[in-house]
Amino acid sequence: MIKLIVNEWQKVFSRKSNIIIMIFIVGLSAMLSFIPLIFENEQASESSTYSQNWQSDVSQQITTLQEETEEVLNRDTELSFDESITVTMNESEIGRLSYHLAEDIEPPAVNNFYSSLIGASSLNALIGIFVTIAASAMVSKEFSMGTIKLLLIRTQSRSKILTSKYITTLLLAFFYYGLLYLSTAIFSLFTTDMNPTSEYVFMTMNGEYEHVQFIGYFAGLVASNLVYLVIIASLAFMLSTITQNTSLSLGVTLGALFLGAGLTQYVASRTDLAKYLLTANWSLENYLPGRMVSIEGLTLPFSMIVNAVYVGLFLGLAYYVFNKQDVLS
Amino acid sequence: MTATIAIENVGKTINRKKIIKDLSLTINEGEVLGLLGPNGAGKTTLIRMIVGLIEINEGQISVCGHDVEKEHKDALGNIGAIVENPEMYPFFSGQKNLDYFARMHTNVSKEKIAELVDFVNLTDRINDKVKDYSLGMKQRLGIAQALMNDPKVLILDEPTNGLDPAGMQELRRHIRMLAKEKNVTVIVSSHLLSEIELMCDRIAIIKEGELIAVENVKEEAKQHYHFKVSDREKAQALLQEHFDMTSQLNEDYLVVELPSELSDVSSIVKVFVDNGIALYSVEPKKHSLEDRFMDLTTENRRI
Repeated sequence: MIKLIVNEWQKVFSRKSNIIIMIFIVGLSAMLSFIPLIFENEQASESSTYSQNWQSDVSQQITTLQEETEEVLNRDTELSFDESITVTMNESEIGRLSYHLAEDIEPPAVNNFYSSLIGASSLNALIGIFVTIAASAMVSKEFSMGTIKLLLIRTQSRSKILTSKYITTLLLAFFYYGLLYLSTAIFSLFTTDMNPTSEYVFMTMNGEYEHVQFIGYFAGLVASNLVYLVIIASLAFMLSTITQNTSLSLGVTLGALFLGAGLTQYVASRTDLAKYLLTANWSLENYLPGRMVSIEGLTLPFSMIVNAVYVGLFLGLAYYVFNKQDVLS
Repeated sequence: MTATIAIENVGKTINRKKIIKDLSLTINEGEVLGLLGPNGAGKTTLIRMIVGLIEINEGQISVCGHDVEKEHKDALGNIGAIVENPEMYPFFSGQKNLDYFARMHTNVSKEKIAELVDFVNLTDRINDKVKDYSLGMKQRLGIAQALMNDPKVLILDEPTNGLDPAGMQELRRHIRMLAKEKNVTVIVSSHLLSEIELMCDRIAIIKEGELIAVENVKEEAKQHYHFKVSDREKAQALLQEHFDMTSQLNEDYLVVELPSELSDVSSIVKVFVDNGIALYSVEPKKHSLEDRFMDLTTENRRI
């Protein structure tokens, strides 16, 4: 089995599209890490680090911000657009700093390592697209090249061949994701300041602040991102196997990726059955603290079961068709 | 001789069209069998069933005593094949393609691969990408790939496609050698008789999914002799009288069918000369397999 996976892996890495994808991933994570430096405002660089006695620094900072806000509000003229932005930003910053003071957690620099890592997960949708591209070609490409015949006239069973392809698809998804995080982490070491504590403070959907241990939060985020990638990979892989058509699998899976959220909301507005939709359940990061679930009343165990059922169905269908079908290409 | 491949009453329907109809055929160990038929006759479909690429709707096929559907693994372990075109991964070099397929088998050594590359004469180009290969080179790489597991049965679908005359002669030599020295059973398909006639022991003619005839290539065909004589009617009468032989009159010739022994020809000549018939020429005309192939396929078309 390992030899078969080596074979599949070699094929993937001899494709030009794979090289382009890898360059793209590294390039994007570099962009995400360096852009904050380019647009860094004075305030951010000012407050980048605190001294031993951070509490008084923070109190000082809050006072400065309050004074600035009052000064702006006390002007006689109407508030300009810029001014109103300043007021809002200052208020949110005061809220954040006060929370840090109240909870006795030293605030990190504005451009800090934890936020950079968590921000990178916003690129997971993009990784999803790349995984779709790879998974859609996995089986159908063999048919269009005609090489499927040379694979299937060996002593290996069809199930074994398909399994090696599926495992390769998943490994590739993990590889892309790992590449994103590895390059983000490396770039962030240069562009961000390390956080002073292991606490991660974030704003919830209601605008309140909360804090959790970073490691736990981050692990939850990574796990939910990977679950999402596995689901997408399975969907595209199944379509590639049963339709033998790369473009069709790519189109349908990307359609689900882009329209998934909208579809869920639309169906949810009509019927309760929306909670059984794959697209309502595949983003497990909704269950992280401070996030909102896609449909009221969904729970993590429920979503996990729904996801598992869908992936099971996809794989069952793929194996059934692949084992039965006549190879005529 | 033992049957290496037994095809029993096999039938196949694709899209409600019967592609193969109740076909039975036995192929013996060390035998080279040609599958001959016009394009679309069902040769490739039959081959796909033997190698388990498509389901067998009716009947059964066994290879070295193993049913290809029920004992897929045991049956396929004995087969090396090229089905239709020798499609390899174009983005890999020839060497990388062979290494790739070697990993799908157990115990294919580096030496074995090098030996095969040498056998099919690709040593100079083996590190080039397959997309830069000619069709003939792909065929040869395909043969190397098919021989990797030392198969007892070698199946080559249209192997002469894209080969030049020299390549064809080489292929013929390879196949005869494999059959003779390693006792490999070979199935070669083609739509051109002339290309496989010289390498086969037997030729199975398939038309519209049916086996029309199995011809033994080695069996000497009866010879026709064309006699050009001064008086054809008299010569015909003499043949009847002296040898009790019937003969036909052609435009210019007297056509006599004889077993291919030359002594008969000399006695006929002697009778003609003794009876004052001038003899201008005697030409042996072999009734070739090609004619029979044409006869069989056109005959069938009329029905």
